[in-house]
Amino acid sequence: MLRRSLHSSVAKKNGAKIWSDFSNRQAALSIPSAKVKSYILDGTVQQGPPSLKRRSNRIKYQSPEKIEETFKICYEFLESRSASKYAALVKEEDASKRLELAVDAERYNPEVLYNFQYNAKVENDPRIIDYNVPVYRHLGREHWKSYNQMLLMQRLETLAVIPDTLPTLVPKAEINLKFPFSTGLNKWVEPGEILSSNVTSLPPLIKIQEYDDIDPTSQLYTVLIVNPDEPDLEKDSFKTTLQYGLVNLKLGFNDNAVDARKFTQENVIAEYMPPVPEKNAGTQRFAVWVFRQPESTELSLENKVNRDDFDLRQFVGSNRLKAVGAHLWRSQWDSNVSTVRAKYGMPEGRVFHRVRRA
Amino acid sequence: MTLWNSLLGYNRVPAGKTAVNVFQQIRTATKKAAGSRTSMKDSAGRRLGPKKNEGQKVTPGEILMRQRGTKFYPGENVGIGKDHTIFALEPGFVRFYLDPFHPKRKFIGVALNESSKLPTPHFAPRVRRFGRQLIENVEKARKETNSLTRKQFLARDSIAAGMKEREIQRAALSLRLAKTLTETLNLGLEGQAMSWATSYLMRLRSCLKNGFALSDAQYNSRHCLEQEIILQAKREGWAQEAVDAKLRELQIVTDKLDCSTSFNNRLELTRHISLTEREDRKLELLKDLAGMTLATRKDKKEVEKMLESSSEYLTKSEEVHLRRRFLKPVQPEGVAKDTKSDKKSVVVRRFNYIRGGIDSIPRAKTAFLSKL
Amino acid sequence: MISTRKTTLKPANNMVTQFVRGKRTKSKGGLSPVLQRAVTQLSVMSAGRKQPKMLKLSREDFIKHQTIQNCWAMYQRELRDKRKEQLRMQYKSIEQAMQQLQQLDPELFDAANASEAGKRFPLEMKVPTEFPPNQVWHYNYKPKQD
Repeated sequence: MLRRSLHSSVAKKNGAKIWSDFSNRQAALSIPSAKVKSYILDGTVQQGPPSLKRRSNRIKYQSPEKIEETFKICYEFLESRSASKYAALVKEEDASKRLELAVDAERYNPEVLYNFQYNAKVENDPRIIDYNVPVYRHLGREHWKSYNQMLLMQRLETLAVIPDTLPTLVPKAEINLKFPFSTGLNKWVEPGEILSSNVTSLPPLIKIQEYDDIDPTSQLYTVLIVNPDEPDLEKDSFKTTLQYGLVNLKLGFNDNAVDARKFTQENVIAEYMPPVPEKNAGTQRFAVWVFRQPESTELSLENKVNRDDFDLRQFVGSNRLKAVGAHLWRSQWDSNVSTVRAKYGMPEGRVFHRVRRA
Repeated sequence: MTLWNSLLGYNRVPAGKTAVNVFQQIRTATKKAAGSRTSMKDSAGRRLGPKKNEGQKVTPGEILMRQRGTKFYPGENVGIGKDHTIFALEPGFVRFYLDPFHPKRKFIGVALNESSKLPTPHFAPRVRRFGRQLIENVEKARKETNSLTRKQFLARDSIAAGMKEREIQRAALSLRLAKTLTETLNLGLEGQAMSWATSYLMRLRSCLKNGFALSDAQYNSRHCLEQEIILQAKREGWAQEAVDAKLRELQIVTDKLDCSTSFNNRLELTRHISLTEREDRKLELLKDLAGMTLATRKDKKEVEKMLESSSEYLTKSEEVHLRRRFLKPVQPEGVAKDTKSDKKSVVVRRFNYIRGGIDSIPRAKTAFLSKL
Repeated sequence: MISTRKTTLKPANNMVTQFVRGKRTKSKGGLSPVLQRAVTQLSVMSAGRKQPKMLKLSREDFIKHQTIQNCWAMYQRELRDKRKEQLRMQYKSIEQAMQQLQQLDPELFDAANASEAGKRFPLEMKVPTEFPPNQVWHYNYKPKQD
């Protein structure tokens, strides 16, 4: 028989105030606004929920009946379970199990849920969403998987970046892309978007958000941007060019936006070449690949890569790189391409017939 | 049953009337007027089936198979029509094949080379044909480059007009910035430094407008200028020392601008206001505003003026917040003391959610900002 | 058109059943007119409009709501796990007992495992009682000797 009642004595089994004692807890596990925190944890203030900005709305607002008492019981129950997780965590030796316990101990904490749901997740404020804390990484991964990861994989497959550049991808890290230097535009690029040549005329800012439990102090990353659609007239086919290559990048869980502040000339294996598609050569894909380098080994810059006819698979294989994330955008010929070419001192682009012939 | 009938003698014909009741069948001359329901329904053959065989050479558009439904699916370099006709999209050699990825389907594809097999392995890169010819003639190439689609052609004028307008606005803005730099701020920038300064500030302004944090906006603007210098050096083949010198000059100019100018919350260029000064002035303003009482029109004007002048050190949201706090259109009922209902007071009628009825509340005229 | 209702002027407690033109033979449950009107209006409304409005919770209350749901789910999960564990233990102990029996007395084991196909209800089963008996096991039991 199902017992459909939750008696408060169940909750008070080992009533440790594990979630409210901040003497040895990260500050990011608490709601920064004192008003909101007290409204959630201590009960309804007379003035209504602080998230409603207008006073009239606050007065009109009515909480559901008995939510207060029910919440209190449930909070105690979940807190007691969290306390037992923390107790197990102290004894546990295995790293992966420790991580699991650390996530389980906090994943139902209402303060954590509030912080994560109502704050910026990509451009996170480390005081609120700190990805060094395992539970935020867990929530971040779940959030990413719920939409953006699927979107990325769909775009990679429908636009045939897999298998044209690399065989496949098991996405581990979230990659976001922005071109703030060329236009001053503050917008994350959606995977597969067609961008104008003006926007892409200067290197992008690439944000690499790791959700896995890696050691950020020793892990190094490689970022490659390749164009698999460069026309190869001799073979009447296409070849891959390397547009941008960065190696030995060191990233943190929070501080992970890769722009020129993050690296020096020593990390660059290929300077940025902007997309300059030729007239009637079709839409070109620009795939951003992010790799984890094998155990804290640095890639040497000595063996210069052939960027005009780049073999990505061979490069990845010989350097034992592990693809963890990808992104892509597309470019077409537009009237600004010649300006970009002139800026980079490139020759005028070729012009192809409009009609494809057999 | 028959036994029963025979016992009762039901079927027995009365003996005397035999000749009268005999039914005589007469065959009249008849001819069936219409044929059977299913006759006359056969159509001519639809000439379905494969039109090309394995390994046969095809050109784009050639039909490989006519079929009802997808007996064969279109494979690589092959298209399918609305009646499921399969046709070639690339020149090559016809292949009939099975794909382990779709074990129940048969495919028709076109291999680009005579020797290559289909399907290409699932994780291998696709075999693609570029198929476009280069335009060798310079004149023709130029013409092709300048050709526009109809849509582009129709939109061209309005786009050009918009661009021109933006260009004019940008020029005006840069003039304004230059004027502020020389006249109000007296930074003493000239020539190259001045042009750097204006383009830096314009970029900074647009970055701030687009919601970047100040440090990011400053970095973005400087980085863009640095990149331009580096690219110019590469084009013109400068020595490394010259590039470094130029970058250092730029750094000096931008540092100077960073520590001597700021943008106020209306994105106008002003003198630099440091973080500590901002805080101090904010506190001062708050103290001043708290001391004010809104009783006359003069008070209202003064508060408005104070908030107007605060745009230098307050962010937009802070200013709006203060405006909401100190310039309330209607004072709360506790603050502006209510009078008894008389001629000078204003009666406000309001729904009381707790009581569930309409309250009428007499308010003093001073409670309303618009009636001061 | 003549209203046929007018002919139904008859006292209700009259036991003589007589056909009256226009009289309702089935009563409508005796709802008051106000209530009846409400019922009619509700029946006309589409089902979508009769659904309760979606709760518009403030952010804080939404988090509270989620916490309550999480708690309930966890509580149910714990109960389920406990029950499963108990069943597993029971099965395990039965299996152990049977193994022991097999070792001690294979004949009894076979008898215990005899096929009961076609048997509707085990007649020799003990009648279920609400409480255990005062004397749980007759240790000194000896079968009757003829």
